[in-house]
Amino acid sequence: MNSLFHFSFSYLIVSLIFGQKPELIPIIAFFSIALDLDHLPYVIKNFRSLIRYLRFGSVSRTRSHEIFGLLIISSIIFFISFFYKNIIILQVILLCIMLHYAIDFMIGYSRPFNPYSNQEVFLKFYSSARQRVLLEMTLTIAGVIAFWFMVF
Amino acid sequence: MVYGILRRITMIYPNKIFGITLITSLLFVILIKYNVLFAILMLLLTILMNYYGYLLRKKYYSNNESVLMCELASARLSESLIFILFLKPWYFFFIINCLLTLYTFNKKRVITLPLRGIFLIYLAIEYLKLL
Repeated sequence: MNSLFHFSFSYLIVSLIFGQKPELIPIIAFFSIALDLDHLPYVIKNFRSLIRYLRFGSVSRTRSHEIFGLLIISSIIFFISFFYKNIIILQVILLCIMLHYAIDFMIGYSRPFNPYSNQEVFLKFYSSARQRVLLEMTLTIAGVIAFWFMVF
Repeated sequence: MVYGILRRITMIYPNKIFGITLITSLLFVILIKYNVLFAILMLLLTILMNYYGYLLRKKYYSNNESVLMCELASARLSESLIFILFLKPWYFFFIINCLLTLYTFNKKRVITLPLRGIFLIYLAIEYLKLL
């Protein structure tokens, strides 16, 4: 899923749970898209084929994007929670990251047990590339409109 | 007609059900701030749907590793969302569950803790105390 949707959806959910907090926008923006940084090496390496097919696929995701990464990130944040007193900030960060995992798992192809298994998992909420583009466009536009109405 | 509907329900691809449990888990996190009873019902719905997905997987996809992986991954993701507002001590148990899932994945039998069920009982007791 694209970064714009990750950010707007995370902001929407954070606002519903913790109330409207515009001062958290930079934190939400960073942590809702930070997981996608692992695509960069793949993008640099396969730039031409990405431009041609406009599809990332599960091979672009490293183990940090799967359960292994989920475990590591959860452990780090849980450990920090013993020292850092502002639990709400930690919960917002955790929520943004977990929403990113959940959205990517639901919408695209993933390999949840990478590096132990390279088997792909797909939830079949859509059946063609065209449907996927439509779904992504609709969700992104709806997310941006919701964000716009909540902030401005 | 009822038979037709029931037949269609049994033909749902289990991965879709596991995906929907993530949505209900998210609804639980939102609802717990507004109405605890509805949140408990949403958690119960999540557990029941997950169990139904498990039954479908056992019946029609028992040899399909991809569906098993989807079940395990969606369960962990669902727990990660549910326990966000209950960081201590529930996230500790969630981390243990993730470790167990990864460790036992390549064994013959995957062992995990029924954390959401235990959490449901805990929430129900806390809610009854408030009444």
